[in-house]
Amino acid sequence: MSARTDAIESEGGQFLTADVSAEEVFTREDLSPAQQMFGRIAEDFMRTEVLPHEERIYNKDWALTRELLLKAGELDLLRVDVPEAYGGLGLDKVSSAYVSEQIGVMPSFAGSLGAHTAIGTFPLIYFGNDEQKARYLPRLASGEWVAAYALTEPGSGSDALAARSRATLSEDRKHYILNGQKMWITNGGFADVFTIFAKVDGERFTAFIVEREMGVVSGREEPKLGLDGSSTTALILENVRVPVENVLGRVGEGHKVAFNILNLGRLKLGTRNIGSAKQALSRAIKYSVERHQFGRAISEFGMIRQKLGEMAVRCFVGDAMVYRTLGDVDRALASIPPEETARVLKAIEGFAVECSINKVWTSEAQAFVVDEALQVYGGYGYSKEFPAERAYRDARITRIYEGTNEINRLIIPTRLLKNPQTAQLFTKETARRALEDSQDLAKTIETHFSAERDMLSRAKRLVAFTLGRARATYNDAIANEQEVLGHIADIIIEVYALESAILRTEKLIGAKGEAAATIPIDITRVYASDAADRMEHSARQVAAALAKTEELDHLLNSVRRLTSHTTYNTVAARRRISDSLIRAGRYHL
Amino acid sequence: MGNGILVFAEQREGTLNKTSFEAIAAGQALGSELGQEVLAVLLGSGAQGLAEEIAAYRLSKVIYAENEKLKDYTSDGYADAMERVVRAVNPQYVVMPHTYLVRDYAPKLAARFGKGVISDCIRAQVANGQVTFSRRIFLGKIDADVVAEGEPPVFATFQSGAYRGDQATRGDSDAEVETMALEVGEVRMKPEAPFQEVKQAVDLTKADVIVAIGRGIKSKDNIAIAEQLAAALGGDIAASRPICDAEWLPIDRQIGSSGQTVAPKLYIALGISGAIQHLVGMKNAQTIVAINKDPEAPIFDIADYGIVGDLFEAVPVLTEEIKKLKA
Amino acid sequence: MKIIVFMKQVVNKDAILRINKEGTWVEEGDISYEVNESDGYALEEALRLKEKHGGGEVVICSMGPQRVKAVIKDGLARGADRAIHVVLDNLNNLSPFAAAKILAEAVREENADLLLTGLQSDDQGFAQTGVIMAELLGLPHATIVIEVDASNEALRVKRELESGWYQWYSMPRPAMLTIQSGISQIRYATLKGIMAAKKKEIKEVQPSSEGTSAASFQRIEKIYFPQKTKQTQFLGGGDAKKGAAELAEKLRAEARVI
Repeated sequence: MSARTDAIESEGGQFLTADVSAEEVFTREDLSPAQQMFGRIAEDFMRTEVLPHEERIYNKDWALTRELLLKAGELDLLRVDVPEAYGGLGLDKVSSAYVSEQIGVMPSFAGSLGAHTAIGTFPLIYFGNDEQKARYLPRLASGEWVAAYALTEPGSGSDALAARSRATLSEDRKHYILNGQKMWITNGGFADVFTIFAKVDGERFTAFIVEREMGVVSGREEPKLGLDGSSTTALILENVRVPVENVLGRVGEGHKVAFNILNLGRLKLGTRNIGSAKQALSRAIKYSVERHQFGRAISEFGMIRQKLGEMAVRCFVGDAMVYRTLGDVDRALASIPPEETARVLKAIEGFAVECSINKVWTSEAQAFVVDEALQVYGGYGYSKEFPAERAYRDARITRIYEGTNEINRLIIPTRLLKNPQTAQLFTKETARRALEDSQDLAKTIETHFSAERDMLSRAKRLVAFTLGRARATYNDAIANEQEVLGHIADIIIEVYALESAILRTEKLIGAKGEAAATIPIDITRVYASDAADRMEHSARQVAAALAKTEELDHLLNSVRRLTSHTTYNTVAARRRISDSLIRAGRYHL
Repeated sequence: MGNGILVFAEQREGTLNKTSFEAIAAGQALGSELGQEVLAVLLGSGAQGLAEEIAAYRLSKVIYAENEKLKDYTSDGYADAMERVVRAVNPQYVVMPHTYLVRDYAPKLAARFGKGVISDCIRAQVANGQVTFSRRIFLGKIDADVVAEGEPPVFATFQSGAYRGDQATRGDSDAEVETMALEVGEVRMKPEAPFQEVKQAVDLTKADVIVAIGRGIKSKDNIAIAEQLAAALGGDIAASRPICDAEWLPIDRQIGSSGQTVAPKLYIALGISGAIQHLVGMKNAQTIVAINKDPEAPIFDIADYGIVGDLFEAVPVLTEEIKKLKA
Repeated sequence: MKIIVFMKQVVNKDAILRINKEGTWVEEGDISYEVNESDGYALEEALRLKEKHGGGEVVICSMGPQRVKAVIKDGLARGADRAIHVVLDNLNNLSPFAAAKILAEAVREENADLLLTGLQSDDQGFAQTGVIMAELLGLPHATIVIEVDASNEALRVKRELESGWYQWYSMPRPAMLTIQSGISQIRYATLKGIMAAKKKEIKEVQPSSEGTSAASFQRIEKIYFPQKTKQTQFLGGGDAKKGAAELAEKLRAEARVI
């Protein structure tokens, strides 16, 4: 048992070598009836209690936001991740993320609720001692108290450890006195409990649980591009007296809290991004049916149908990715007692590459969808009286927060090279073999996607080639080659996305038959066709950057071989996808 | 094998319900097409006068079933009495108005014949001696043609407005009134006196212009735009049931089967899908306007003018245009 | 007090309906379902009565294919104690009498104190099943009930009449009541409720053959979208603002109501 557990704990990143069959992955179609009901509660809550008040929420009626958080608490929506011993439900990550997906229909409120339940409450769940948990978790789980997470400072964003806030032990050694400033704190205007990071004596980076009453002062509401309906303020710390019992974890180990919490946050973020994208798509579908030009509904025009079709592709593939990761994480956590938080965190950390992939991919998919949705609305898309412009603005932050997409792109190859389990896959030798290897890696799995699976296995070799070769070329200086790493990250991201889409659709065919999966099959082929083009482009950039002049042609030839693919009739396929959306009147997969 | 059409006439507190005349019209229409006689039945105690009122219509007979237990309506009393009348008359069709009273006892009556009622019909058509009943299903979105099978009697109820009461034809001379003194079994329920909940502060029946809102208004805060339209038109604001249930507007603003029945010159339905319970309360308005996002909404079936689209876009423009026209 | 609540699963109110090839029912392929609205209020009333009168049991009874488990589980998550699922693949050809017969037989042995259901279904809209069940079980009934007072030996219920009138009726228990929509605020299911529901019993029973073989006495020949009784002039061609401007002009010039 334990041997198996250990194997699973370090499973992250393994998708680059292992062949995965559909039975091994979790898909959105595998949600249990209970999980579906959890989601429906959240969906009903959003539809009946929150969405009707969109204007008030976006006018910063924080009293209403707090009232709604309390209502969410009554429905147990804030208890999902909290352990049972502290008034929570201690549910699996799939359930938690599926609930988040429903909340995602209103990004501002999702921001408030998510900041509370995830980065606000997680530090206590994973790093709090029993007394701290007993004091705070029940009140956070009910919504009586609202939590916030305060890491960023004016001078330290992505470089979080460069924080300048200081904590000084009082003379009686009973309090730490905090001084400094925090920036961009979600729920900053009204939260009651904060996780605040500061350096003890200016050196030892440490996390503290701080109650507002201890002297935290909020700055003004930050005027923002989007998410106007969630509170974002600075926090001013002037001699804030925090009892020594409120140190979270150990003095000097604040970085453990900070990075683990960001990683945990990213795990759930993907479903929320796709949830918002699906909402924008469904609205665009409805509008395109209602809006008539030239005597016809605009949904009948090819250009609009292509847009709707491609938006659905992104939503379907995004769900395939994030639920796959969540399912893998839940499987890894199944054999770990939840109170052994260090092991839980380590297991989740094992999927850091997947979490970064999903963060980047889903936020960019969301950006694409809200942009195209706005375009479907035409001039009305630009009007504040229609929902598309708000969705467009709200989405922009998702590429910035929880680690910018640039930071996350760098994490992907860097992690793979750091993790001993995966590092051995990317050497000069493996890079060479990746090019020479003429036999197909793909086992002959009976599948609708022989061509796509063949291309996928070659794409994995492409990763071995590009990353192995880059490492051999740059050695320890590879961290300075951000552009090359970024291109390689893009290839890895496409591999994960494409494989997840294939697996989800294969599993669907297995469960319901081919006839029930014609649209997912189209989606998968459309995605595969375009992904191959994009991977080829990225690989060429890497090859050109790495190659000595005399070997460039050879390398480009190799890239061509590894990325050669036929082009699917995506025009016809997107029409079929879009027709199915229009028939359903919404995104329905 | 039964023959003839038995029409149930409804009375409460010594007054005939106007839907009784609609039921008579329905019975007469069926009778003439099927070539069958039409009888009416009235239940009560001391309601002989009402039976005579009915006898003025062209009917082969009016049965007045008299029993002390029929003074106030109860489902036990009515089902029992009607069972005896139906067994005595042995008609092929029993035609009733689809009122709250009939809904309460008719299924019980039909169950005693081992069947249900073809309920809430909007039409009946006769071809080759066979009657096809049409009923609205799926909240009025779809019509179903239904045929009766098996042994008579066939029990059918007709929706209010399916036939017009003023088209019930009067006879050349009064029909015979047969008073049937009958036994009624145990009546288990005790009715108290009917009452009205709220003083109807607003009498919408006198309004010339009504702007009514439904679920599509989405939130209480949005009612203002409908009120502005009503003000511009010099009309009253009203609502469908869900709005009053949510207490966004008081109950005396409710239009429909459990609210007021109105017939204004202009009725503007905003975000009202047109459930049948609402339609019965307003379909006789002179001009009906519907603004709704759903092109399939049943409200469009009875609207003179329709806008398929977002009411939040349309209404402010309409209000402005009307102000300009009135200026 | 033991209360049985009959709940039907119906096509979602907002679903886009399509008629099947035979023209006898709607396409059920990928349509979504929900609980019949007034049945939801019936369950809420049952739960409130149980809470008010210190305990007892609320039992859901639902009929249909496996998909109706969604309605049952939702009801259990809201607080019902257990459920009876009468497994029957197709309800669409069931007459109100046959449906009532099957349901009555499924609960006869329960000897409940009170039976509740919604006043009518949002699909077929017969408005009869509860009343026929009462007759088959030999119980008194009341329809379109908006308030239930069960604090005394006799049950006292407020019925809605037409045109804003109401009336109280008293009757002995056990009794069958059909509940009007909108009479209360329906509670939400909670996540804890869902967890608790997993442990609650759902008994599957087969429909009585007497019920399924009962002559239907009424058969749907065909269904179709209603023919318009009026010719509606649609304005704006999908542009609501343009439509509004046109409308103002029509109301002045054609309808002459301004």
